[in-house]
Amino acid sequence: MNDDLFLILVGYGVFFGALVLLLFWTLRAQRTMRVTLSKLQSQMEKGESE
Amino acid sequence: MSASVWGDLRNVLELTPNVQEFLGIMYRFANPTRFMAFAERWVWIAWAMTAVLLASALYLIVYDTPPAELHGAMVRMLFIHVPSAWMALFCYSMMAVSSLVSLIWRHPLADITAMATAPIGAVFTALALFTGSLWGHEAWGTWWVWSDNRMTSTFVLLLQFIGYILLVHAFDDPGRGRRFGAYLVIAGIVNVLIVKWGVEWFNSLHQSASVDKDGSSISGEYGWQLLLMTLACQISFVGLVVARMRVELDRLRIQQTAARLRRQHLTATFRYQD
Repeated sequence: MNDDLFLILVGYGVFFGALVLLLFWTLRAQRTMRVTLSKLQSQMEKGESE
Repeated sequence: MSASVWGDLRNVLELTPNVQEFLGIMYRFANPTRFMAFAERWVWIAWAMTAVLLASALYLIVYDTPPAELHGAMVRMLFIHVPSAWMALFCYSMMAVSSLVSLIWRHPLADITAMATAPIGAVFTALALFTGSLWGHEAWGTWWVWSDNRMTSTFVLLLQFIGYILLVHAFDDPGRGRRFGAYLVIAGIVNVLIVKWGVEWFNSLHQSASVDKDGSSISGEYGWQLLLMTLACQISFVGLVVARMRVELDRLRIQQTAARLRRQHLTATFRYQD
């Protein structure tokens, strides 16, 4: 494989890899936040009923 | 800057008809829940368009890109480097506008937009630096030159994005963090001007703007590839920013719920002591 082709593959690999990772990280954060929020809300409802 | 200065600025700006029109749209989406319901209903169109644009761009890049006279096949690197650099500047400009709107009108979505944009801007800036370095190795025979103003100012831009993310989360009072973050973004506009026009003002290894008001220096046979990749990045940004806004809104709700829970716990403790 010549040098140029190798650099192009590295460049495009990192480019698409970074964007996919960003999307994956965002969706994971969405799920974590939703779970934490529902736990807190149920704790608060329990506190209010007591 | 004191609150009255932002208030005075608001009063002056609201006299302008264009600003009044902008405010009309802005207040229609003042409720974050209503905005997210609207955005999340339509965002799939952005993802579908991104997929089509990326597929078309990649097809042209792989099968229909003749080698450049001087740099051969490496010209393909520019189709990811240039859109990344444009997106980095676009993201920062969007954060600057959001920060101004947040300071002047205290719009609830403005801070959320700035916070959602920062990680996306950081990724695009890092990609512009990385792909630029690969291009520089081919074009200039070096991976990195600290004395070049475009490279160094873009690196500073990356630090600004990271600094903003760290600053807004560094305070116990989230509102205070967001306000200081907005000040930091507005002060950092100076560096965006240096990134954009530094190559005209100082000696630089980097070429001047590829596209400006007088036209484009890009050869016609590479125009479509660049246009499609730029549109794909721009439209994928819409999908990413809506997804990240959901994260930031939930983070805000968690902070508010946790504060209410703490108050509830304190009240319960006092009641028990009574």
